[in-house]
Amino acid sequence: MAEALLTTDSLGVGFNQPLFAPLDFSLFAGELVCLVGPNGAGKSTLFRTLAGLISPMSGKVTLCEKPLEDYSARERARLLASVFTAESIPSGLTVEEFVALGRIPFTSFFDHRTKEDYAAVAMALRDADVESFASRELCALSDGERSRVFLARALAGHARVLLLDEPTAFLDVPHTLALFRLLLRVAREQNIAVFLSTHNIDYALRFAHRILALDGSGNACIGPVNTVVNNGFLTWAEIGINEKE
Amino acid sequence: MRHPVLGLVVLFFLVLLFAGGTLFWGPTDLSFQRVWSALFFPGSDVSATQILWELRMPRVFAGLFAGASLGLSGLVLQSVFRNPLAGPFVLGVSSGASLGVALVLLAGFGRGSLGILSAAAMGAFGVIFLVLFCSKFLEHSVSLLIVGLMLGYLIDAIVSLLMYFSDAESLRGFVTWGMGSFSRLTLLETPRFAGVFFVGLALILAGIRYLNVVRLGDAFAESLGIAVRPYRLIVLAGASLLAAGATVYCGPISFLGLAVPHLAYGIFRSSNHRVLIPACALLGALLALMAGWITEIPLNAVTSLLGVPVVLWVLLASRHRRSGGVRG
Repeated sequence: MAEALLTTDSLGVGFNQPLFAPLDFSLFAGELVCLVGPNGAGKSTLFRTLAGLISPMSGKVTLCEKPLEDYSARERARLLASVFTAESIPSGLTVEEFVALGRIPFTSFFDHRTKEDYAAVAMALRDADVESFASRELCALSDGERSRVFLARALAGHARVLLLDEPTAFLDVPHTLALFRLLLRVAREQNIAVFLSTHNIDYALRFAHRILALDGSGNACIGPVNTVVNNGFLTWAEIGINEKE
Repeated sequence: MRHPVLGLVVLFFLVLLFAGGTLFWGPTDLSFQRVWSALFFPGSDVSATQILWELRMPRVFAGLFAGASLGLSGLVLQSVFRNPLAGPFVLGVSSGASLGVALVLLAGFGRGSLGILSAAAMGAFGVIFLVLFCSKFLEHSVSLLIVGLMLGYLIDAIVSLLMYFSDAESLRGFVTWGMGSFSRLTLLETPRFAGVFFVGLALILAGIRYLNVVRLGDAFAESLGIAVRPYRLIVLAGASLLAAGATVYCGPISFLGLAVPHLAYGIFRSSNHRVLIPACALLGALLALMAGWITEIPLNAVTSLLGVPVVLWVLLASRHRRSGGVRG
């Protein structure tokens, strides 16, 4: 059995009332898990809770065998990297500078970069396949390129758990496919857990080792594709096979 | 720029050159030898010593510290507010500092230079936090600029009222202060100005990692393990202190704080505050020394001539960028 990197214990998330039934699940090293569910089901809230940005309503989260709340923000950021839809992308910031921000959890008080930091950035640029435009400005990139740059930033910190909130939201078919392949490869090669939310259920079924499905009315289910489908969380209609019949 | 350190060294020597220039050339014609002897053997030439140490030397330091202060203050405000049009003057921070000065000089609250300094720092800090509060409700960065300008007008109106009700003696002192000049700093006050500058600089340096990520949003900073609130407080306190120091010792100076960071972005092509902080300090000092070179011209005329085109350029250029520019 692979190592459990992140485990939840009857975790309830939400602001005034829990958004869905308490969750018990683990993310294992080397696996790709997809979070699917309709808008408003609580996908982003779950991610923000797992990232430690908001506290859980009930239950607890364990990251690498230690309760999440026992970490300082900096220690946590070294083990868990999250990519949310960026609030703003400033002009003048190059891809390389942006990816280097992923080293912030390791840099000194005055943000001094060591050889190790530069090496980690170079490797992340290569792993996410963004080396060829490393010196271009972030705001001038296409959505497909940008999604890989966000991934590179998360990889630069050598975290064990990656949380990606809808990384494929603005991508066309070939770019979505490429990003899923890249994520699967990264999860396997670096032996990390990749957890992403997506509305592309077809890709989730194709690439994810397991799926965490939220139905939007408070129920949740996690497991391999079959389990999720058999429990009625993804009807075949949603997957799109019986659409025409 | 490929080698930012090289650029910073060049800037440093340019600052030294202009500082030296301000010492050696001035309205009174002093020969090189007389300046030299006054500089290294003070007392041997009484009138030259007096001119050098009491007029020119303070002016050099006033330019250095005021320029560097305003440049750094502008950089921090632009980063924290994610707004390329932010600056201590346009956001009303300098006005806030002026109100503090007016309350001491005109209304007689507190006294002494320490009283003026702390009143100005509180005024600047107060305005920054009003702007910060308002920024939570604003969508567009130009709105923030307008809020800052309005706050500035409001405070200037209060200052005018204070001026109306004050006696002629204190009024004269306040009016000359309000015109902005590097010539009023005395040698006695120079160490205090330096102290304020270095405390402000230290506060900003303490927030360097925060400043490097803040442009990408608070959630981004938090996810990288940076606690946004304390750092924001620290760097904004630094920016207020710097703007207040410059305003107290040299009067309200327009647009320098806004223009300097843009020159730094343009020259160094970097978003890293490890480069931008020294770059803005040096460029600010350089521009201030250049603007103060000709003592007969009002300082604010020169800084406005320099700053307003930068504002216009930022406004016009931002239309063509995809998601950067004014939206920040």
